[in-house]
Amino acid sequence: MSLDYSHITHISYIILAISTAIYVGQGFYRNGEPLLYDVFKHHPHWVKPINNVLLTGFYLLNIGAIVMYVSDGTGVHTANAFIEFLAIKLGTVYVVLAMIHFGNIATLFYVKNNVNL
Amino acid sequence: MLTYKSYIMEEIINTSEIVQEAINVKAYLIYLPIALLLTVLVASILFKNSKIFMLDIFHGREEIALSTNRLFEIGFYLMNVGLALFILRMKDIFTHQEMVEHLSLKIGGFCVFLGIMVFLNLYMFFRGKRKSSQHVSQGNTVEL
Repeated sequence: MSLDYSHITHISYIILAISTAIYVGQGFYRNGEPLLYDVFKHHPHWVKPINNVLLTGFYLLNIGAIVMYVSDGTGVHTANAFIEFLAIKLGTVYVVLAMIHFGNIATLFYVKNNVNL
Repeated sequence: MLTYKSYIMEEIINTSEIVQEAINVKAYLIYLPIALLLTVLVASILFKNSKIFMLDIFHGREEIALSTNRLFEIGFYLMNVGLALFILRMKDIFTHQEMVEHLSLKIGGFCVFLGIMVFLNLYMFFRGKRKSSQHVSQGNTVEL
């Protein structure tokens, strides 16, 4: 009985978190392409590789953190604890990812304005 | 005799705690929709009106302006939803009065944080505008 409940929480956590990760990743990938084309105006053949590398890094960080926290949730057996667990783990992952994302954008703008490519 | 009494007391305390603890989930289920709704509302207002800033910074190039706007919007959502989730955890709540007080603390604090984020974004937009007009050879007057 308790085994079934913890299985459901693990599976729902993984599905929810990884689908948001993929959705956000695709959003960054598609919307970041024009910005990259602008920064690397004189090297348009750099854009697709850089975009792909950034996307891979994003997936690694996000999905890695999500899967890493699955092992942490073995003691979760009540709805209360499940919501708290989901909230804190997903919350930390998203805040850290947002900071890295804005750091990336700041780096791109710095490269655009101050570096001769 | 003494241990039997303490056993009964333990049972009473445990069962009454289980009945009272459930209100925590109610507080979470009230806090989460309000926080997410606020984020969506603020983000839609902020990034609907920042399109003009973006068009200005990128000198009228529509594709890059709109996609950079969208990029900032996704990052904004990521950070604010992440923070709303991160501060979700509340102390064990046993009465509705306590629930209202804890809720007001969380929702109010989150609103203040949203306001700070909005002003930070506005500052970033103005700074981007200033930087982009510095790189144009002709003098541009700042239009308000």
